[in-house]
Amino acid sequence: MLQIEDLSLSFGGVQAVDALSLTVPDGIITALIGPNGAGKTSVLNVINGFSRPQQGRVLHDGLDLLSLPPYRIIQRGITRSFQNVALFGGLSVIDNLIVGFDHRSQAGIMRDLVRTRAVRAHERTARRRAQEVLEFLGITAIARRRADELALGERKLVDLGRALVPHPTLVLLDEPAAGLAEAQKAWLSQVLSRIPGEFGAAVLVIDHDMRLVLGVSNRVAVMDFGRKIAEGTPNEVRTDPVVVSAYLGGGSAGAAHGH
Amino acid sequence: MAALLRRARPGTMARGGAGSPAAILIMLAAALVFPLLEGANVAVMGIATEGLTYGLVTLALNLLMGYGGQVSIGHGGLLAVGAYTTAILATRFALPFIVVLALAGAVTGVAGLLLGLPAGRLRSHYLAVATLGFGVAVPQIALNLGSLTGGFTGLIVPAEQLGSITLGNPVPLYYLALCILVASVLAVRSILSSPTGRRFMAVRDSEDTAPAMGINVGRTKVILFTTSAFFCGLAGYVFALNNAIVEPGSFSFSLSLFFFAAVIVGGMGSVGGSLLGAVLLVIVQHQAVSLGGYSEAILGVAVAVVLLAVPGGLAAVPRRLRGLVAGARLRHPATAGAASLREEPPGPPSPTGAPREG
Repeated sequence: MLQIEDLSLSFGGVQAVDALSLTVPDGIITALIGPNGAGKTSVLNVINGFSRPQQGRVLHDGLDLLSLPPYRIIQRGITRSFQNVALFGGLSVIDNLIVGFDHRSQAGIMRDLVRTRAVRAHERTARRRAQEVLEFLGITAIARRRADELALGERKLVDLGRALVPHPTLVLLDEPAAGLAEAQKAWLSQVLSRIPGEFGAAVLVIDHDMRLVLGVSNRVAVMDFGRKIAEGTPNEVRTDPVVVSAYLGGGSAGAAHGH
Repeated sequence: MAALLRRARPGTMARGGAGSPAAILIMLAAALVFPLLEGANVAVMGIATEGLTYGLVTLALNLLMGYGGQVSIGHGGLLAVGAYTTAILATRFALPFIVVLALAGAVTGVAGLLLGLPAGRLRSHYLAVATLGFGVAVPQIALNLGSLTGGFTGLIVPAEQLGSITLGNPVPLYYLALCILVASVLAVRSILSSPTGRRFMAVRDSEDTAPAMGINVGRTKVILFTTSAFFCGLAGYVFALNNAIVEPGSFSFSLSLFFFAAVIVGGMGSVGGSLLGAVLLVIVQHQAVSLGGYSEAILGVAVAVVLLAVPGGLAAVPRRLRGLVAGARLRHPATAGAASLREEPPGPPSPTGAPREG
């Protein structure tokens, strides 16, 4: 379980996150929504160690994540995808998926060089695992393609795949549906809703597509101007007048859906 | 420079072209029979060994640039560290050649480690300047450490013996250089297809997000610089024996520039391309000796031409040719259908319905 307590993060004069408290329970999908600039990505960046908050704690199963450098976060079982899909462009799709799995290999460069039995075993396990995830995502056909040759829809799924391969317990997804066509979004929501069941992982997802987010999530927290303005089940949030006004005020019609 | 380098899109693992196993085997066969043709010609053998030596440094630099995404225009300095280590050990101690070779690699590796520490914090042209400083500083330091390095006159390297074979003789040295090069190529390929190699390439492709995948970027860069430097140290050993004298004047800035140019001309991210690029430029430089100071200009022109005409370097030429042939077929009405079928890779299953971007 991830508990964010009284988190504040500012950049210069901009208060990106303002005294936010949020719990991400195990085994379900939690959505974090809000208008553009509400501070959603900043929250992921703090969990991930990319941004250091001025105040607050981020407890993961009791350990404060803020004491860890970014590259240690994955060792806690926390993985993430990126809004701008920063794949490793020169690597094949399967190698992109394996990179996150490699932190499990204890071998240094010398053992990698001579390919000890353990290194070869790691390589086999990693490939098998990546193959499973490719099958789960329905993209086995592109396994050997270079990541920078892929179409956006494929890249989005590979980015999601990278977050699933390392046996995560918590997956942070930053706008997985951005830029996708309707048919692709339908497939994505199917995939997302199966993650807790098939991977035993909790999901914290950010997205602007209300229909998709409210459709797949069990819990929803709403942010505006760095603060949490509402929290509850998708149905509760959908009808919350505070949420509706935040979205209408913010110029997005998304939350009016369902009224 | 960063923008220019971005044109030279590095490859993943060798796929066709100069990096394919077939191409590498052909190059190896040619290298093996070469002394049978030219073994009697001492000058030519010296140049051939130089080609292998510079090929190894270029490979080491390509590991750093093409696979690790870091820049160095100071690899001549690393070669100098390896060569001086060899010369100092060979003049003062009677060590077996394999020990000297290993120490040349190890000492240069440590130099690379020190160079890699700031590299963890610097990017692109800042890193280029730092490595440039290193490359310029090494011969200066050697010049001033006269008691150890022989100062301006340098050190004469005694010919080492391996049983009854004198390693300093042109043909044995050539084959020794070839063995070291082949072993290094195998080692580099092994590293590249391991977790360590994937970390190098991940840092190259997305340094900002790599930590989210569990990669310690600073540590990865230090390992990368150390590894690259180790291979330069091995090359330094051969360099010392091949030149028979190690002096500051051998490691001018233009040598570092040469390795940089050889990587670009051969192809960023191509093992075979590194070797081809180095050998080609060695030949060009020896042809251009009579032109005096113009040889650096030739390097600059070669880099510019390659970046503009074939950004992938020599390694990409076969792929480009295949592309041209396929393009011609596509335009030809009779075969257009078949060609377009071949060109279309099997897409992802339709549920994703991914629209193909242009």
